[in-house]
Amino acid sequence: MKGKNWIILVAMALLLTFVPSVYAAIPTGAIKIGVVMPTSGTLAYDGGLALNGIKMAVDEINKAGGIKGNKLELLIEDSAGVPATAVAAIEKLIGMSKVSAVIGDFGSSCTLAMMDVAQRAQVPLITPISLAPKITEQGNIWTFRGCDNSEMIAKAFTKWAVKTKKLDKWAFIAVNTDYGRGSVEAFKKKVTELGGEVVFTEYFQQGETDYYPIITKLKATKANGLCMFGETVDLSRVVNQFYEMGLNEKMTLMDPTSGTFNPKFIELVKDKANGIVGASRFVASIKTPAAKKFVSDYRKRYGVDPEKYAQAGYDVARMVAMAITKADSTEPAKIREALSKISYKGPQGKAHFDEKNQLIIDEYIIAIKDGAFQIVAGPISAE
Amino acid sequence: MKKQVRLLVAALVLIGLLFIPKLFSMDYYMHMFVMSEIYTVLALSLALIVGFSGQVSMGHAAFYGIGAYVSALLSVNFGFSFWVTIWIAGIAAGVVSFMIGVLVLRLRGHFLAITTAFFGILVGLVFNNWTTLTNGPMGISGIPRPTPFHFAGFNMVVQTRAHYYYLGLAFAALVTFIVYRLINSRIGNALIAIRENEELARSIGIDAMAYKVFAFTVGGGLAGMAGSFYAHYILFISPVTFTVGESINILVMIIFGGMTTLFGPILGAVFLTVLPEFLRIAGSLRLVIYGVALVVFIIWMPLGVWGSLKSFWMGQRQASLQTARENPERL
Amino acid sequence: MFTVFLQQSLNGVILGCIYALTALGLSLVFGILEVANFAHGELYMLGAFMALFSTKLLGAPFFLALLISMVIMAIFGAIIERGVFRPIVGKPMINSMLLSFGLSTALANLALFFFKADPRKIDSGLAEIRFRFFGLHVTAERLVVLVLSVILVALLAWFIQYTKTGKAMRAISQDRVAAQLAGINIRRIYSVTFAISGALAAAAGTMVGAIFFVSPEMGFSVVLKSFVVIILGGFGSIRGVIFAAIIIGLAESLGGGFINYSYKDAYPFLLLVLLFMLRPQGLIGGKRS
Repeated sequence: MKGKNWIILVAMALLLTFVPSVYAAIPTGAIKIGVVMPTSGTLAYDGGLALNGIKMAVDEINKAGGIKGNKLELLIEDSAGVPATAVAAIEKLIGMSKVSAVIGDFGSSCTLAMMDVAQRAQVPLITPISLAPKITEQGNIWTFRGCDNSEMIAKAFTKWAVKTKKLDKWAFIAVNTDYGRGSVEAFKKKVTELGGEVVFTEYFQQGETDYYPIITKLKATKANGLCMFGETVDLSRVVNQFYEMGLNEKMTLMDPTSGTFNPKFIELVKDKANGIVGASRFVASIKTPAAKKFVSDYRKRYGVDPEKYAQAGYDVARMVAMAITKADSTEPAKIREALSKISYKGPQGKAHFDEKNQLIIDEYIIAIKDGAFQIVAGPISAE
Repeated sequence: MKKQVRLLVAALVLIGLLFIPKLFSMDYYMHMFVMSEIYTVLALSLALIVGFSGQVSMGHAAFYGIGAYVSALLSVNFGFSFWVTIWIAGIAAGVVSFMIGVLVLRLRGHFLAITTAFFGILVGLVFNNWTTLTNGPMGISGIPRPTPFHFAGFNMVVQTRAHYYYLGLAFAALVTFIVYRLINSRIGNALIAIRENEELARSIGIDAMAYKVFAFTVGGGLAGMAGSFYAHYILFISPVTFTVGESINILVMIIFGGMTTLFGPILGAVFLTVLPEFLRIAGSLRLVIYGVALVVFIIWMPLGVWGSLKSFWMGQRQASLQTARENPERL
Repeated sequence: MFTVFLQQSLNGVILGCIYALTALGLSLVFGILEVANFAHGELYMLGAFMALFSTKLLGAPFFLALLISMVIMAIFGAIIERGVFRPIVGKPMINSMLLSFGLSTALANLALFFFKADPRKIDSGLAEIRFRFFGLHVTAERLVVLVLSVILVALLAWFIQYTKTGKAMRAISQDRVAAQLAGINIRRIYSVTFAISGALAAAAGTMVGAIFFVSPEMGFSVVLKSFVVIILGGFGSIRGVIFAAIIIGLAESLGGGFINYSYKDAYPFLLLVLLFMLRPQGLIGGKRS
């Protein structure tokens, strides 16, 4: 017994002394970009998609010779979708690894928590995914949103749904986060403005499995449209249980932030995905040359079609690279300056940041049919 | 004599700790040290309940969270200063702790442990779902730093990591002192008597329930103060920080160091705050290593690192293992 | 309104069946080894994965996959009993709790590493068959959960009541020392107990994997709810556990549907708190500590 104990102690001591030397071995000369994404926890799947896009963009840039001969190096930290972990991760990236810019996070709550750190350290933070309107409403010049936000989506989508689709009694089921609550608020406002009525609102916790209690309750309402806000996995459960309760005969499924428009969702719910309508800044069926090339490259690399998370990861990584090239510096302040003036063209289309660091891009109205994502209307300009 | 030596060692260690910010200037390291201080307070406060009174609690993070939320809400909504809210946070957590203690401390062993875990979950659910008050899973941001204050002619501000480190050091030292005095008092003797044999303790006239509730309340209150410190340090709180997993984490810290000693929980708190950060190089296998290490450790070192060393040096190792074996339900 | 109530109740009972299966395994281990096994949820999770792989890789039909998964997890249960839990049987309870917690962390993260986080679904082919009667909806899949649970519980009850091993198990849970003196091979019983517990967890995991999802993180919340069930239902009583499981299922379903969905997971715990207040001496009555 005694001997074993000593071995453990010595091993632990060795571990402690040996570990810091590993950090010092990171090669210098590369341009370091930090990434904070959930690679564990309930958001791990969706976070991985965004990460796929980021990695692909960086590999492409490095293959083409990097930025003026310097390779880009990604330093990826897991936030697990937890705000406190996200804060620790960005602190580490900025404080220890001295990254020039940080891409992240997925969940709005995590991004909101990291914004303060980015501002204090004066390093640009670009979120490719987070939708909560308030991220770009706080006057934090160090934080950028490299995608649309729920207000922009609401504006484009509700008009189409209420006027063209004639959906006037809305039910909402949304995840209880900044993203879910922010989106429901933005949509409620637009729906009532257009003369629609909101008859049902329920929030669920991320990672919830059993939606029977609210689906059963929903059955007793007069809603003719169910509008969902959430990630792939949670929403696939909602949709499955929605069908099991026979609600599909009564109402149209809407997923305006298109959390469901990806192959994984189709695999999870199969033909129950048919008829879901939504809005998205990107789908693999966009037929422009830039989009086609992106889709085929992505397919070659990952074996599946990219969706909007991968697209946003890809675009944001390229925007950062473009800003570094423009700034001709790895200094965070100069990169920020260049990023705010960027005029980018990617697979999705043209994009630039407005005075609040909100990306201005086009929207498409889309629908799922037999596992494919079809464009129903659009592109709808944000302006 | 022995007591003086101890005091001298303690003073020297404290002086040594004052130089840490000079040695590690990097924010990232300082962050780990500040977190170590917070965990030291949490571990000591839990050791008071689990180690010295023998009442296993798996809901400690709830009091940590209550302290953090009370403090954050008071300062964000009503502009209270940290120097006021930390006390209110401690009292609030202590009151809740008292109420839960009265309700559950008549249970023992597994039942107590699991029931305290349930309370931890309930408190977490309230943090998550009472959205109008706590802002739900989105958490509370914009918590102010401690306000500057005048002390002995100096104008003290708490701004950098090093400032927080010194503040935390004072806090942790104070809590260590409180717990030290408590366990070396009549109350401490009564608690240890209850831990060793509750029936016997009762038979010699110790009001076991009152003492247990007392330890639970003080432990919960101290955890609440730690929560307040955390809130005004990270400046953002959300329910995920205060889960049952976190309670178990603190429990592991005191088991790791050895929970029936004063130094054990401190050792466990510091080591287990620093270790997971280093394990980050193991990437996705980090938590696997942590879990396996925990299993191996518990099988081989049931008394904790400090506890094992202590009894090894005192030549009592065999003896104390014996007691542990003979009284399987003791803890 | 009444239909909604009936529908919620039906949902609750089916949910309760799953809790009953996980809680029974947990309760057996608790009663016989005196170990609060927090890694029980991981047996349930791994069981679901085994069934998933059986259907996906071997092309096994759902019921065969369920059987395969139960057998594999029974063996796995016996292995972890032998390798991990046996050294600490009889040690302070906090050690066994943390040990099982360490095991749970390790297994869940190993599963995450090898099986990845993307959740999958076991395709039973039964979800598409939907029944409708008196305005109530139920899928064949959920009916299967109901029927299978009843069968498994009946089998377990028979095993414990009438077989020699079952009788030995009961003897040990009542008095370990006396049982040992009576010549019962206590180690063998430990292994058998863990095997049964693993098999029941696998069955529950497989069914949940069919009606909900399979993911490396599905384990932890189930364990805590199962603990509520066994505390509520009293110890060593199969009937009590089943009764408590159904109550918990109903509390979640009805509370979530009629009171507040956000607090769905709080109702089981609140029930327990209520019980503590009504019966301050605790439910367990005479049972030691």
